[in-house]
Amino acid sequence: MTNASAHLSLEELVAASRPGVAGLANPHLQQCPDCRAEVEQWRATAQAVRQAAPIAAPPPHVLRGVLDEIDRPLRGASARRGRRGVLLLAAAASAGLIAAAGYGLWPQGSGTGPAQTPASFDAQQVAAMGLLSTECQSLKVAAGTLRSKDGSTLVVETAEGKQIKVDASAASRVTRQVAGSLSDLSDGTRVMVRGEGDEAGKTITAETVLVASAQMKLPKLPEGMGSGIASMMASNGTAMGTVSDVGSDGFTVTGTGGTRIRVAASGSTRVVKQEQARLDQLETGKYTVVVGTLNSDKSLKATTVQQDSLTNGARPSLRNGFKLPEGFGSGGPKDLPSLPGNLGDKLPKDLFSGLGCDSEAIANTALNGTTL
Amino acid sequence: MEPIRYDAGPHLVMLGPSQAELSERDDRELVPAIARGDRAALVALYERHAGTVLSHLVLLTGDHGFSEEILQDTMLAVWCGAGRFRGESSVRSWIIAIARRQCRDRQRRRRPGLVAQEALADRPATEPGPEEQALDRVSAQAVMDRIKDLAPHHREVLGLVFGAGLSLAETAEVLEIPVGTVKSRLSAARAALIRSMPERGRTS
Repeated sequence: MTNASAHLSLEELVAASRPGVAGLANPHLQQCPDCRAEVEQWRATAQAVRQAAPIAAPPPHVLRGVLDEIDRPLRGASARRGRRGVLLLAAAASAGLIAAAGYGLWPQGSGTGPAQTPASFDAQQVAAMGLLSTECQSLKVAAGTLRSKDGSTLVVETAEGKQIKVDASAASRVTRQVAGSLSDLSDGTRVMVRGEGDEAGKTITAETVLVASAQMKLPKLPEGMGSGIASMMASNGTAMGTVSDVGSDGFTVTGTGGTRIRVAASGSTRVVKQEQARLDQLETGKYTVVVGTLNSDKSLKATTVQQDSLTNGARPSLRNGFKLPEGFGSGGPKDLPSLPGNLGDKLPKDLFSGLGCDSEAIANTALNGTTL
Repeated sequence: MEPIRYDAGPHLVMLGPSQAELSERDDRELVPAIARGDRAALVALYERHAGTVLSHLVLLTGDHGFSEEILQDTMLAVWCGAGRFRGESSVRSWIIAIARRQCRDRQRRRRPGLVAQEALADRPATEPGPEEQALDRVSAQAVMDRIKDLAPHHREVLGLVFGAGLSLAETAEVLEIPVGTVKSRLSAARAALIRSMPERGRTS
C-alpha cells in the first residue's frame, strides 16, 4: 500500500507524529523533505494539544463520587440499575452484612406468604416485647445484653430496655466467641473478614477475622449480582468465604461467584472464633442472642444461645467516610428492636430472609452483624 | 412448632472458577462485566481511561472542576449503559462519545459562554517534578491560550486525535461525521493553531 515514492496520506502523517513513533519509521520520510516537514508540524500540534491538557489521573474524589453514586440505595430516578439490585448492594455494603440489612431498605415484599405470627401474639405484640420475628413462624429472636442468669433462666435486655426472660434449659446449642489467632486459619476455613478495603474491592486489610464453625452458615448474598457484590463489599471492608493461600502476610478469601479477595493480616488483626460453651460460662453484661419459641407467658424457650463475649456487640466499624445509606439504622441487629412498631414483622423477616427455621443460622446472623 | 431444618439455611456459593486478575482483563471483557453489575470492572475501566477522558474534557471546557463532574456523569452513564455497548467501536471511543454527550447536555443546562479558562491556571500540576512542573505550567498556559482561541470544533478534533489518541475513523464515529470531514477539520485546526504560534511552526 505504502509506496516509498508516494507522499504520505493524512492518516500516515498523523500516525507518524504520534509519540513513541520513531522519527523516520516510514521509509518514504527518509527521502521526502516535504513529508518530513509535514510530520514535524503534526508533531508540534500534537505536543501543543498534550501540553494544553496533559493526561493525569483524576483526583481521587472523582472515582469516590462515582462509586458513592452507584452504591447509593435510594436513587430518586429509576434510571439506575433496578431498584432491588441497588438496594441489595447498598445493604450488603453498609453494615458489611446482608444480615444487618433492614430498616426500610428492602422492598416491602409482596406475595411472600401469609403473616407469620404465633397463634397467641400478633406482629405488633411480638415487636412490643422487643423480639424479632423471622421468616420461620415459630422462631423469635432476642438480641441484647445478658442481664442476669439463674441456672438455665436468662434475662436479655434489648437496646430499647425491654427485658426478655429466656428458658435455656433445652437449648441445643450454646456458643460464645473467644479469641483465636491467625494459626487457626488454613485452606478451607470459612471466615468473615472486616477491615479496610481498597477502592477496587480487591484487597482488604483485616481488622477482624471471624472464624466460622463447621456448622455455621454464612449469610447468603443476593443472587444475580455477579462478582460485583463481593467486590463492592470488599471495597467497604467485608469479605466472606473460604480461606486459601495462607501466607505470613495474609490469605485469600474466595466468596460468592468465585470472587477472590486478598486479605492482609498481621499480628494486630483480631481473630474471633466461636466455641461451644456451657450456660454457666456465659457472662452477664455481654451482647447475647437467643433464638427460640415464644411461650404463652412471653418468655422465650431457647433453641440456640450465642454470646459475643469479645466485642460485646460493638457496632460495625465502617470505613472512614463511609456513610450508612439513608433510612438505614445506626448499627447492626442490636438496634433492630427499636424499629417503629408499625413496621410489623416484615423487616426482621427480611433480615433473616432465606434462613428458614435454622435456629443457629438466625442466631449467627443476629450476632455477627455486630461483630464484624 | 416446626422442626429445625439444618438444610434450610443459606449457602454461600464458594470455590467458583478463579477470575483472571482485573488488570489483565481486556476492555472488551470489562464492559459486559460492568453490564452484569461488576463494580470492580467499572473501577478497572475507570483506571484505564479516566485520565484521558478528563484531559479531553478539560480541553473542551477549560474547566477542571466542571470536567470532573462530567467525567462522573460519564462513568455513571457507562455503569447504566454498559449493556448497550455493541462492540462496534473501541471501548475508548465509546466512552469518549458518552463524555461528549454528557458535556453537551451539561453545557446546555449551564449558561453557555461561561467556560472559565482561569480554572486551568489555578490548578497545580500533579505529575512532573517541581522544576519541570514550573516550566510545563508556563508553556502549557501559553499553548492553552492559543488553543482556547481556536474554534470549539477545532479544539475537539485535535483533542480526539492527539489527546485521546483516536484514529481518524474513531474520531469520525465520535463526532458522527464522515472521515473526510475529520481530515479537513483536522487540517484546518492545525493551520489555525500554527498560525497563532509562528515560533513553533515551519517558517516558509
